[in-house]
Amino acid sequence: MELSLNQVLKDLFEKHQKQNNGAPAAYAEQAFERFMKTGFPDRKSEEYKYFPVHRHFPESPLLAEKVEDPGAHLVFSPKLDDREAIHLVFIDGRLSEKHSSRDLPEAGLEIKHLNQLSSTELRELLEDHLDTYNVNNDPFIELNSSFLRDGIFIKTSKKSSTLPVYCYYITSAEDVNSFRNFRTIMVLEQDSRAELAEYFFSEENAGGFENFFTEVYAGKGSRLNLYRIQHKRGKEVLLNNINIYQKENSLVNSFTFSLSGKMLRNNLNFLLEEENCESHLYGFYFVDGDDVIDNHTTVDHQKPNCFSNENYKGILDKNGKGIFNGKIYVRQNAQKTNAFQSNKNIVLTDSATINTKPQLEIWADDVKCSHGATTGQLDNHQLFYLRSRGLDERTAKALLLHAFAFEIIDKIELDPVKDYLTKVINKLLGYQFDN
Amino acid sequence: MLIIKNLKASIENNEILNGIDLEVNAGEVHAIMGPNGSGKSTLASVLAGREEFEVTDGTIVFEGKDLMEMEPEERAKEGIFMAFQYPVEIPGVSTTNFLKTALNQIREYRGLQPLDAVSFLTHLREKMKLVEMDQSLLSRALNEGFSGGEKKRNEIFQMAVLEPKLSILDETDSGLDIDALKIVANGVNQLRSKDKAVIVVTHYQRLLNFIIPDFVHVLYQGKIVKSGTRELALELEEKGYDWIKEEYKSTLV
Ligand SMILES: Nc1ncnc2c1ncn2[C@@H]1O[C@H](COP(=O)(O)OP(=O)(O)O)[C@@H](O)[C@H]1O
Ligand SMILES: [Mg+2]
Repeated sequence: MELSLNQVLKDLFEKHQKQNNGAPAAYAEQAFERFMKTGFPDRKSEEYKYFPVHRHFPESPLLAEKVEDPGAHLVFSPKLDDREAIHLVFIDGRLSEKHSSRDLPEAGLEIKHLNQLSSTELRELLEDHLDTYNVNNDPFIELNSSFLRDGIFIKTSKKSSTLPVYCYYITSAEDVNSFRNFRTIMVLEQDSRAELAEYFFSEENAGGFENFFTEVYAGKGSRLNLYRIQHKRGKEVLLNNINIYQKENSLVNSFTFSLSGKMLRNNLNFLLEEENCESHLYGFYFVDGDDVIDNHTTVDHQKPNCFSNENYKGILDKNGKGIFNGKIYVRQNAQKTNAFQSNKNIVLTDSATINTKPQLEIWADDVKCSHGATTGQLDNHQLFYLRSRGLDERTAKALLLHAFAFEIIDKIELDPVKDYLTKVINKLLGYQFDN
Repeated sequence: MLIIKNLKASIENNEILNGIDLEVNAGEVHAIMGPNGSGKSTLASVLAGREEFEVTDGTIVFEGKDLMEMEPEERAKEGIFMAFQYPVEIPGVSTTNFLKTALNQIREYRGLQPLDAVSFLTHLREKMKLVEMDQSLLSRALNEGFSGGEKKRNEIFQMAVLEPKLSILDETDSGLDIDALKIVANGVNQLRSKDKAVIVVTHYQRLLNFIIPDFVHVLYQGKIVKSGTRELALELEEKGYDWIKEEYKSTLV
């Protein structure tokens, strides 16, 4: 089975290369070679131990066809923000011009749709910007590069406005064999600021396998708020790698909200390549039904004087399976590193589970690191206290869950995203209060 | 209003209440005193409906209704309020927010219209004045980082807001300095009326100088071993509990 998956992918790759409408041949070939070295994760793979991705990969994967405007016939506008903003709507990994509004000249952003670039242009873009560092040798990063054909490139400069950029990734494909690779590249030039919100959404009938890869290059002194909202209702698998490369004095706040998804995996990697970087990793996951939601994070402190702070919280309901793995690497010359990590979970039923694991590897000696993980039920004393004041049990529970989640929501700086998430999460938790 | 008969309760098979009989009528203030560990908090918790305690025998009737059949929130809606000896901290939940929900759920139960934001705020302000509660405490998370005294005052404040028929104050005086004690007592006294009752649990008579009880009961080893009037509290203050214990032992032989 495992061997044959590699073979299946090899055949697919060769076919894809022949069609020659993707990434430059050499780039893709090198990536595929690296992929073959690790191979598709199997049941023995440590990194995918609780996320049996090999059992959910299509037997005969099909790469998406080129379509004119996939959204031409769709009536769909899940806008998160009514104000002026850049909205990029992708349906099954294809930009829908009809639903997008990207040409705001005053925004002063450079936005390129990879699919519309010639092979030479794409090669130049990759050579100029891409310097992918696959810190944990994740095979899906290599697969994404191997099959790179579609994606979006966003570049900010000091002169560009700070209008938020919203990327909507909507799945409408129903074919279980559909295999979609998508790349988002964001480049923040020196001292620029940006807000990027990535929203993953699907309806019940959606299917297939999605391999998304977001790369962010945060230049010297740049600041970025990166929001990731995952609210999938279909049967598709979402594999999402996010690499964030930070240069000197940059600040990146990352927010990951995983609200639903049959099989959802995030590999969030912060690579602190220069001094004085600051990184915040906030996360909230709600794992309900039979959902499997896996958040793997890595903070790689490569240089001295950086600060990272991670706070992930989860609520596990019904048969939900949650996984949290937090790696912190402090390289030998990354002295005066401050790195903190916390993961707290509330498990609401006997059949819901959470696997949480901090993984600290520290080679420097002058560092401050701490980590903590807790897993428990709702606090009975708190529950009794609220009920003794007249709140019925359901309301009291919802209030406590809301309070638990709100610590993360409250950190959001972009109001439309904050309002949206407050509303959606309260609904999920059964919280209905008027203030 | 409240009739407790032969109440026995245990936790993890340890019997803590050993057959309590107590009758509280509207308009009355009862003090329950007794040494540490005698079961005072247990009695208060059982009345409020804490599920960890198993009631093994006896009955509790509140205004003609069987209390044991009711969930904690139903008891609150019927008009029972307990001020906790150790109020919990609830991060992320503001006092104002949760009290509004609580009050409106109680009002709904009693067939009253919910209070809108403005009337609720007016109601809140009035009660804040009563217990000299600081606005800044209310917008903070419930009891989080409050001092011992602030937590106790918050309990009395909540009582004032929810306007229960029967209030049970579990050691609300402990940890309060004399000024705070007077404020709390004053708050309770202003809420005294002919159709309301109060049970004051304490092991010092100090509070009873400010909240004058109609009856005083001594709880020892899970039983009410002595009942009397205000003078009993003064006697206990003077002589301590040892004579009560001796008297109780002699009844056992
Ligand atoms: N949760 C509990 N588990 C086990 N024993 C308890 C628990 N709560 C109270 N007790 C015991 O019950 C007895 C009475 O306690 P309590 O009602 O708190 O007394 P008081 O309030 O009069 O000081 C004590 O011996 C105490 O140790
Ligand atoms: Mg006590």
